[in-house]
Amino acid sequence: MKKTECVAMLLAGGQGSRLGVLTQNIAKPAVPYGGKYRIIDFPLSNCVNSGIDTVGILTQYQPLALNDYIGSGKPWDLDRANGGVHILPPYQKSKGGDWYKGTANAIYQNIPFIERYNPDYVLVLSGDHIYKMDYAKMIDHHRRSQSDCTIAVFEVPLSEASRFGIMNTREDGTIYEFEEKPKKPKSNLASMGIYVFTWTKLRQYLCEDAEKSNSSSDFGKDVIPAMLAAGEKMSVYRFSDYWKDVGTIDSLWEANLDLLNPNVKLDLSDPAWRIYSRSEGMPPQYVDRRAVIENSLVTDGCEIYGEVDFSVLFENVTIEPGAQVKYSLVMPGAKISKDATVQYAIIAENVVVGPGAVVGESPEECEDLEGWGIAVVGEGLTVGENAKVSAKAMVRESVKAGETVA
Amino acid sequence: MTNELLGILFTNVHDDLIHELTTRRSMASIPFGARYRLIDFSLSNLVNAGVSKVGVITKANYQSLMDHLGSGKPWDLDRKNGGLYILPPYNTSEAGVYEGHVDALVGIMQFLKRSHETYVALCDADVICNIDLKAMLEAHIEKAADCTVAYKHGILPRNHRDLMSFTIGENERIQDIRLEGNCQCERDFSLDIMILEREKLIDLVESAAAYGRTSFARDILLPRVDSLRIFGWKVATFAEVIDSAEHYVEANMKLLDQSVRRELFTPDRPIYTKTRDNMPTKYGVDAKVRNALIADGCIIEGTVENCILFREVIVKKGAVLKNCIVMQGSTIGEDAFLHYAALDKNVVVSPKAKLQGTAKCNIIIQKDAVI
Repeated sequence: MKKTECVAMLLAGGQGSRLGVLTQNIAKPAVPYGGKYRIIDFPLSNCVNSGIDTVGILTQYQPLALNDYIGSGKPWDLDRANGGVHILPPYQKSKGGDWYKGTANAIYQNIPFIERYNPDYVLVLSGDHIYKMDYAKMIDHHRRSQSDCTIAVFEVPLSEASRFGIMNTREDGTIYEFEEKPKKPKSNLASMGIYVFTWTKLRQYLCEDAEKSNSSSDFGKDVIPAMLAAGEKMSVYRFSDYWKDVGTIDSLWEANLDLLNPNVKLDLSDPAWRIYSRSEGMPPQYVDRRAVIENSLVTDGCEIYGEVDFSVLFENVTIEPGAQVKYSLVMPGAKISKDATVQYAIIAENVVVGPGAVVGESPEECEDLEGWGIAVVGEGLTVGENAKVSAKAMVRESVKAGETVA
Repeated sequence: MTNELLGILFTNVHDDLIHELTTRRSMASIPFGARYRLIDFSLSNLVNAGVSKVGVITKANYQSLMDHLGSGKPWDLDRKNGGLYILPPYNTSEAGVYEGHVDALVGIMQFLKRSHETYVALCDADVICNIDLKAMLEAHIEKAADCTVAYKHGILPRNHRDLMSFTIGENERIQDIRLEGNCQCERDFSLDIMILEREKLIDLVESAAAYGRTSFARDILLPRVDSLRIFGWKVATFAEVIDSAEHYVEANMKLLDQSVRRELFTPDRPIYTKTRDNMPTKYGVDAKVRNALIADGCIIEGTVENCILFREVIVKKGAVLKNCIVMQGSTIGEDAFLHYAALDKNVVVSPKAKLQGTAKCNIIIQKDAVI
């Protein structure tokens, strides 16, 4: 087998329960983003653009949509003779089988996969964030600093640091302490959940961790602290471009609308760093005479007859005449029927919002500002004619005509 | 069934009819409908019928076509068995570059003979339609036809040498074939998409070639209208045979009609094209867009009415585009005014520039021009 310098392992098994109904049937990395992407397109495209052509995707929770989406890896140019993309679900072994117990355990169970490529380094990624990053630079940094582990970090405001895993570093950028969600943070360097390991070291610690019956086999909780305690050389790699967690309804909504903000540094149109996605066979978008579209992203396959403002419309969305969509995400295949209003809402795939229905409320109109939030309608549901979905509602079942859901 | 049909595409048909757009490309690679090239329609028709082997006959100016087709990935034609075969002219010392369909087929005789499919679909790549070739093949077999030709009813396209119009008899049997040239009359005319048995095709082509014949319609089908069982296959949905630059503009604009889009873009038979991984189209704060067909990757900050915008078109603030076709990668500067203009790829229109054509006569701007 040809030698591969770096194998990427993408942790895509998490449920992403904070996204509620949006991840009821699909894993978080398969959640649609930005009009034509899914979250996993970002780490995958980053890999390809960084010259990493061997990627293992560790799946566990609701993998069907994700497996289907990845397929042979064609859209990311990862259908390769050597390497390419591989879906790695948990499997039965001769001495029984196990679910992936934790993030580190998922990699541990796939040591034979990694060994096939005999890599120098292993890049561990998650499918939770929107960002464009050249991993080759990070691997370079790892190699030059002769570290055993390099962790990408992002500077967050100190006031928010207690929500993150914080790296406390010496002047030379080496880490002396890792604190998970510290009450009194000593630094503002938050871990981005992106790790480069020297493979021989990681292999050793994964095997040691597997021997400990009380370990949760998690990178942040177990492996990183164990390496620190043993005095391995751990460094940070600073990243300062756009990076956003999309693990909650609010952050998913914000990260989408960030694409409409000219001051946000996330350019998806850069031909030198394309974000690839699977999208095939859709006609161009059509904008009718009656339509009004301002400050929005609209994708192939959409038919717009109504009004769209400050919104992101994914592929094959129909907005009928008289319908209004404001400050919202409308995911693939959804239909907003005539005279319906959708505002401050996330409409999941293939939802039908009936004529005259109202989904979501603007904060100005909302009487109870404490209870205000983004309204969400789950995949494939119907909101009946003239029904009403209040602010912050999480709709899990179809709404009958005329009904109100709080 | 799926391996029964071999596809053959003619890509340099009628290049001279739209010389404005074919100076640096073949007819087949003319951009159409915001994100397609003409060849995408016939290729997708073949692939949607389960065809997995397609020969693309080229003649001249085929660099842009090769670039578009690549290995055939977007059409799922990057195959070990079959797939896409680019067939450039086979320029023998005695023959030279081919002129008609017959000598073009003679040039690919080895390819035809080595193929194992029972039937062949011959398609001209300047026809825009979405038809069910599988059903057409089934009808061909059921009727024990020697040749089945897709046709539509309408005004005859102009300037098409050897375009067949038909008298259709009972059970769609073609009773009479005429070559009427520029008559501008209403007829049942050929869409130049036809199905024959491969062995039969080889026989017909070889015997015509032996007499130095070049035209498939004039020299093969027309004299045999009685001796061969030739059947029509009526296409009642949107189908256009591009015959001039004006007609090209008109055919594009027809896509603004919802019923036309429903016929051309059916979800069960998608039209595939090369993907460019553009971001979705961005509509700015001051965008005013009415009645427009727009591809991904555009950034629109101005006014766009009755237009077709291809991928990566930038319309700056204050720019006004009405009744225009703007191809991939063109940029319209601030406060520019364009009325009835068709811009080829990568045109740059400077701020405040003014281009005004008329409904009858669109201004056509060549590729890479700076205005």
